[in-house]
Amino acid sequence: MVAIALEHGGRAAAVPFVATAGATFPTVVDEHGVTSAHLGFKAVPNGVLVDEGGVIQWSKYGGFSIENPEDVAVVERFLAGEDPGLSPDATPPYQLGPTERELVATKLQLGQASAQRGRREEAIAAWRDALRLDPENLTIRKQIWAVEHPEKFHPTIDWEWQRAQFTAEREQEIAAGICGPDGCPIPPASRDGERATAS
Amino acid sequence: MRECTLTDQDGQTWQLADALTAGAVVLVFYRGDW
Repeated sequence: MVAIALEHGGRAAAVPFVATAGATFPTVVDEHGVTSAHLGFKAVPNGVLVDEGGVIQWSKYGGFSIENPEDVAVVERFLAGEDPGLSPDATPPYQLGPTERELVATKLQLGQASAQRGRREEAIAAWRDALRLDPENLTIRKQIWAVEHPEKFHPTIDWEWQRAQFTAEREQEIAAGICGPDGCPIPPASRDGERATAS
Repeated sequence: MRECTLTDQDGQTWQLADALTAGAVVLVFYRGDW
């Protein structure tokens, strides 16, 4: 079992939570979004089961939890050498092309480097660039929120504020043509020079 | 799954390939303080 912390603020931001959680398995920090870019997911929590040959045998994107008996049963079957079963259908609304993926990863790295140097506004600007390319990516969006509005995450998480903030930002993205009224199905590549019709 | 190299909570390098030498791996993705 390996926990992967999608923490664009780096290891320093992830370590306190790891200590509090008291996990007995390793936690690694993906501060540049490498794994999310490769696997194409845009939110957490997720579970991915990888066999000894490095092949993904089962995955659940969104809602994966050790408090969910069904998820635990899948993991136990898998670790016992049994067939984990079919993966839940959780297709992302769109997939970035390789160029967009690299650009998003680069922007995330730039933001993280700026944050480490105390350049808060530069970090936020880089992460916003990444979010414009990948507007359904909640890990990037919440990273920006955590830096701009830390009081909404500590000492308790203000979920109502997150919902309201997401609604407000989505309205802005629709007005700007980044997203359609039903979400963000407009492929990034088709935004340049023309407006694609949201499906 | 593509090989990836990350850093664990103690600052040590972690590679998926190394973890797989001990058997299958369960990856759980999260963000601590949503």
